[in-house]
Amino acid sequence: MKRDRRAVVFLVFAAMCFVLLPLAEPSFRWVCTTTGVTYVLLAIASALDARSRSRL
Amino acid sequence: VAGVVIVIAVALAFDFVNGFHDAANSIATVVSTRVLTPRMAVAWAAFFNFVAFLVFGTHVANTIAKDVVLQNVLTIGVVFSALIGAIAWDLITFYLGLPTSSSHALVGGVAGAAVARHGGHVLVEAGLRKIGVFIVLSPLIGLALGLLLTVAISWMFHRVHRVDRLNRGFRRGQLVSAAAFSLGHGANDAQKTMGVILAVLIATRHLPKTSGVPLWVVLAAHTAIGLGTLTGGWRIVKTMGSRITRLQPVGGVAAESAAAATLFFTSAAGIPVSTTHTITGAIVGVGAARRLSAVRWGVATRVVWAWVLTIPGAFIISFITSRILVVFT
Repeated sequence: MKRDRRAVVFLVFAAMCFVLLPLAEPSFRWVCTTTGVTYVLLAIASALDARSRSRL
Repeated sequence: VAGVVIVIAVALAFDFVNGFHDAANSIATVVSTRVLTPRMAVAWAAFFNFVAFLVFGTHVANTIAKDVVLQNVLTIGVVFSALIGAIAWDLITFYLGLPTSSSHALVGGVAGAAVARHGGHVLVEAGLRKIGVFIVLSPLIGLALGLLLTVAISWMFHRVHRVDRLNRGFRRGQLVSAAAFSLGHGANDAQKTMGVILAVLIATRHLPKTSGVPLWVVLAAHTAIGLGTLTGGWRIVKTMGSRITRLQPVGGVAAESAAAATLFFTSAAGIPVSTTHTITGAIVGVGAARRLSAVRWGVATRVVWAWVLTIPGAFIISFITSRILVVFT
């Protein structure tokens, strides 16, 4: 099965958000967390989408 | 007093160049999807740039004035050098057609000019960390929101078969989203100039240290950015409007709404972010919702390089300007 490049890119973006977490002010850490989690979910959705397309 | 007047004039010139440079961000998608003529689009954006002062506070201005370097080192010479560095960087990147950030140029300029005179210890670590974190986060938030909005719109309207009718509806919607983005742009970017002017007025004891931004400064900054936008910059329209990804009206609405939401949040939280990078992220998000290859990554990479180089570039120019001023004064 072909690897979904979009999912990989989203995981890299999620990693960037989580790396920023300790650098952010405590009052803004939720922004890093929310954005990171969103990218993880987008990566999962993208991978599932690619998988369903490859089965067609 | 003459020094203060000169620095305020240069600060307003920076604001004008900012509007001129960033006009493309507000109008690129509206022009590239032919919703408005270039002339109308520029007038539309300039109007909402100006009225932004009625909607948002001045938290970003306070961050620029108090959270980049120690407030007591912001003398007329330092602020003047900072502005020269930021304006020079903006004009260089404008000439090259690169959508870089005037905000980061200003932060780099203030830091460079202050370090040249007083050394590295004057940098405010917490403030710079806040700005630094959102340099990376704002385009990522814009990208995620742009993508999610595109997917949400696709789900909502996937049963509509009259595509021409749908496009007509979204063309009208783009007027609202472009206005919202211009409002966010005016709010976040005009405040950076207000911050610089506030710093000079406090440094020269025209205002007390705890003072907020006077109304005349707010009005002057919004007028300058509005006039700059009205004069418009066309080189960057091409990069933003069509070279990153091809946009339809529906994509334009998604990109501008995503970027506007990001700017509203950061302006309310007092975080100076790049309006350029936020809209770039949102446009990439719209393209990536279709497929990754819909984004021209070569152009996006150029934007990232400009992004990485802006703070060091403006820092170096301001550092040199500040050193030269020390020799001559």
